[in-house]
Amino acid sequence: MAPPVVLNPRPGELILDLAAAPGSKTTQMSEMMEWRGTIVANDVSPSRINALSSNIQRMGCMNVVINRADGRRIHRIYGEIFDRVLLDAPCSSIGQVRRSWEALKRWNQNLVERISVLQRDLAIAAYKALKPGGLMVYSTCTFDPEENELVVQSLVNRGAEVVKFDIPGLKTREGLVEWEGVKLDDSLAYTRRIYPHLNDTEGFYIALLRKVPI
Amino acid sequence: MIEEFISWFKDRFGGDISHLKEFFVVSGEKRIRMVSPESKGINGIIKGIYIAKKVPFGFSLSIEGSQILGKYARRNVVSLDKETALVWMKGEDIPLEGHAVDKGTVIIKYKWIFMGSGYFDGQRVRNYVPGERRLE
Repeated sequence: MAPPVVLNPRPGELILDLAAAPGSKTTQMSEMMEWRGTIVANDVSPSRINALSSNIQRMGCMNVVINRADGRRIHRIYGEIFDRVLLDAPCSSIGQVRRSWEALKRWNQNLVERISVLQRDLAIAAYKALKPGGLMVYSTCTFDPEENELVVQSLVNRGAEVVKFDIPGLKTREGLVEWEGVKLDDSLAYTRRIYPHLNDTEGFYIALLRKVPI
Repeated sequence: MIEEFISWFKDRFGGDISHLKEFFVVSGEKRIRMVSPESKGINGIIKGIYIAKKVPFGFSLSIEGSQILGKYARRNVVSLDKETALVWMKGEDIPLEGHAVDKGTVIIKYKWIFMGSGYFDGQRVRNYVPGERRLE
């Protein structure tokens, strides 16, 4: 999957996967790290923790520590200690319509506005948990700017630097720099929208950010 | 318990796993898990993976425990054919004849794939594959 590839965790590092369950990206990162270092795999839901735990065990990920907490409090639990953070945020999932028609049935603007508040709070907590100079990936499987660029803009407003990246072999489009008449930071063009028709995949959005040392 | 486990593995399977000692941690009263050394000091509710459990006749190995440690075993490893391996993964006990294994824990494998452990009582291997991992 693309978000771990963009985050590029290295062996020996300390990584946070803030909304980890069911763990497909956690296990991918564990292997990328050659089972060295640590991934804190956090989720809030007990039932989803069970699925996460089962997948961690089955995939032999001995460098994963599972934590159960509201992600919005994560920086208060661990402090600013992580080299890299992945926030694959809960979202309205409109990018999954090809796979699940239910996503379209569930979608409405109220959902987008409600979930974007949670996404922004999670993103801020994730950003705070980074070491100065650390890297963070924010990703969703949806296209609504309220859930994507506007969340990233809230981190830019707190001093985050948007980092340019490519995903080899994947066609992408630039992130939006304007929405409903509101001008966003130009660096948001470095974030990536991956539409289903570009690569015959589901759709998603990825941003890579660096915590600028104060 | 970790020293006991390392010593038991050497006695039972003829393999030295003492170089892995820094990865082992005791979980609860009976379980041993494997954890990256860097993870030991990090807070969380579950660390690493479950590999072994203390039982009255020594230890049993989880599927992952057998996959990680099986390559160090020199004896008491039972190689199954494909048909019997599928029966094993359905959770059934395996009658055993003609294998040079001792009573106690045995490691099960099919070709290069380790498939957990069981208890050999002299006639059959009792199946320890957990219910949620069994084939239907």
